[in-house]
Amino acid sequence: MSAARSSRTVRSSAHADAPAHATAHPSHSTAARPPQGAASRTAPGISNASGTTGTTRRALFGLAGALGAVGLSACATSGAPGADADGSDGGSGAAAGTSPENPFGVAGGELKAFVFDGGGGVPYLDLTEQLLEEKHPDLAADVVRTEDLSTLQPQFVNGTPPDLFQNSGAGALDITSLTANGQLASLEDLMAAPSWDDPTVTVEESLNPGVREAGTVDGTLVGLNTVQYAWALWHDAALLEEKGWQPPTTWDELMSLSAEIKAEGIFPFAFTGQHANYPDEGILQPLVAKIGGQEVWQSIDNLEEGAWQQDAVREAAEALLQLRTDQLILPGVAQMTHVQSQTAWLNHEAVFIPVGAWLENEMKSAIPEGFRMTAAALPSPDPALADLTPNNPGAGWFVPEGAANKPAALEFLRVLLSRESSRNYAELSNSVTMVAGAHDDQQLSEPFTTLTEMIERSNAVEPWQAVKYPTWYPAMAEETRAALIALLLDDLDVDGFLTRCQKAADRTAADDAIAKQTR
Amino acid sequence: MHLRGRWWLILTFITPGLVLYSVFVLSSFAQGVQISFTNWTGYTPTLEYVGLDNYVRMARDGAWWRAVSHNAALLVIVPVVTLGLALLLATLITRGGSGTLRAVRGAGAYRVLFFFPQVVPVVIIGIMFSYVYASRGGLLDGLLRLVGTDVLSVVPNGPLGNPRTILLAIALAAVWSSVGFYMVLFLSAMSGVPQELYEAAALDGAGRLRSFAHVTLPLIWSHAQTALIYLAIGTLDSYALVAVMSMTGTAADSGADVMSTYLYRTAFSFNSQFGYASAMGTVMMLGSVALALVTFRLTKREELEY
Repeated sequence: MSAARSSRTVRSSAHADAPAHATAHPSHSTAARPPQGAASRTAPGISNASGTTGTTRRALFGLAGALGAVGLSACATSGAPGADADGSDGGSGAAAGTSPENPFGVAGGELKAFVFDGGGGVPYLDLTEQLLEEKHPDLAADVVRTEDLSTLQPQFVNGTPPDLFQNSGAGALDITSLTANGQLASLEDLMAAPSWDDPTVTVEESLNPGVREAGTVDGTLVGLNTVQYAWALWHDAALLEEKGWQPPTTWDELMSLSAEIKAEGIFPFAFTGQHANYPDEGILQPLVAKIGGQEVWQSIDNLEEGAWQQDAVREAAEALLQLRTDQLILPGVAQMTHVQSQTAWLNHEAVFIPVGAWLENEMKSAIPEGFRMTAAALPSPDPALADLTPNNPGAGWFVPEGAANKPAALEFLRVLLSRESSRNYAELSNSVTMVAGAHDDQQLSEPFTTLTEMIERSNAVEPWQAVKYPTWYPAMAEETRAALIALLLDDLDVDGFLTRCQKAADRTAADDAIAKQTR
Repeated sequence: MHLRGRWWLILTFITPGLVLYSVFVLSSFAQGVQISFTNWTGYTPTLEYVGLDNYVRMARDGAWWRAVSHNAALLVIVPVVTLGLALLLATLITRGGSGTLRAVRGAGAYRVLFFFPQVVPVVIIGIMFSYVYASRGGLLDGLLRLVGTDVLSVVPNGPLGNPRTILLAIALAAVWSSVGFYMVLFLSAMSGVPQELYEAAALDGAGRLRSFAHVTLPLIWSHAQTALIYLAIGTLDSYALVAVMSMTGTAADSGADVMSTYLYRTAFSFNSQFGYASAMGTVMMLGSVALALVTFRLTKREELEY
């Protein structure tokens, strides 16, 4: 287990901050990557430094070499073969006509795909590959499982990107920049194509709400996010039953139950203080939305003036401050990683913990006998919105604009969204996919069932709209999340929190170097 | 004729090294400087020059100056404490025995023991110290419990969760990891000091402290100078340890964010600002060179022959 994990493990446009993917492998450590990583990719033969060889100067260069940080920025910027190709030839060797049976005109050839592998080997793709190759015997799919997607970066620089990649992990590529550079293909054709299982239904119609919103960057649909990264406030149903506590649905119930829990000598809440996105996405985001509606986040995303000073944010901050002042949070969470906080929670040191849908899979080997992991939406001050929970689609797939075999890439994604693939995925990773109804009668585990039910109830209230500013303006999110941790665990008060967040937003709005987006 | 023959020989030996160094070190530096004048995102084959924009941005970036101040704090703490401890330990080992002239008993064992952290990779040291500071089952917590308190009572939120202590906590790990290496360096330097000088000093009535200050230190000064520069440049970087122990600088309200971790996030987390990150790298490189020059100047002493 790694002690360090980037709080921004996924840089897909869809879902900035869920753990990289839903296998139990928490070691996506940005920290372990040496800063010289990029230096090894330097294109050879471009030594243009003049040969100053005075003894002292050479010695100093040697000393500076120990620093190694400048080498970080040295990537292949020399003109490389194919560097001028803008990839408009997507579809070479795939000139077959399109038909409802073969909507993208796949004509064989090779499909080169890169997939993030957190250590589990991504077994669920075996079936997808098999289904694809059964239908297109001329097509050879080469799906490379890799721990570090950043090795694709020079391929983009060279203009020879792969056909398809699944963007997760510490080395995930920056989708915002790739989209801005026009290096990612639109997925509109995929969404409009007939679905794998039922030709009368398009791919888009076969999916749960949110896929389009999650995959759209600056107006273009570039990402296909296939996994439901819902956030829940998890508890152990067995513990609650044993103590005779009712699972709370309103904020007041949660607070009065918390007082009872505290009296029992247990702490009501735990979360990781090292990955500030957990309390943000798991508590602050739903709480604000439940108080003031999801429009509050929309205005924050759009950097509207005084957006952080809205009453809903203030009320939510006051409620969170109370968690600190009433000492409802497990002491020591500030320096706990996600796994450490989840372990403490599994040991009943705390009753509730905000984590995403991947919790069961991540902690599989540590769940004690008789523990009944249960997902529930964050209790709500407004009972009408009690079931609403952030359920952002994640684990985004992307097709580069310069892909050599774009039809095959799109066809692969169409297969991936088949019922068979989805159910296979759920079986192997205990996670819910975005394919509508695929898991309805699938009995896997109790946590899985509570999760699917929670998502269904949430969708019945209204579709969750992902909060975008952490992906659009990551430096601003770093600041607002630091403020959130200071509010929850350190000494920041409500006014201080709102001021810090508003300042970060104002700074972002005023900075011309940052490309602005709206929704 | 002789000279020509020698030139060939010299070139044969120099060329491979020079070529490798130029390709893998110098060209990277040159490219880094070049990229620092662009708004490159790291994905395109073309560069768009923006003049000094990145440097102007850096001068106005509060987060950058916070990182610089953390580096400055580390530059004060780490070299002073590390070298002080290394000198102390080396002296104790060589001259800590009975009388003032003999090595302490078991000197060989201490040598191995203190050097040991040097063979542990920095990343492992970072992870290990995260556990030392942990509030559950951590070594520090265990020790404090022996005296009736615990780590969270002494440091709210824990050493690595508290913005006011995280930098110091990491600095301690840095000191622990490198003290052994410099101790061995000083030990070897001290073994080169002729024994007669100590005997003479002892005859003149010099105690341990005096013979350290007036015999040992002047004679190993060039080693101390080298050590100081190495350590200072290493501290200016500090990437690995800080990254591992503070979530690449973000933990505890960025209380331990240093230039290199901020640079990393700028390039890899903040929408691929490779141009801006390269400008930071360039400044760090110039800073290291300047630091080395200044240290050379300030610590310059007359060479002593012995």
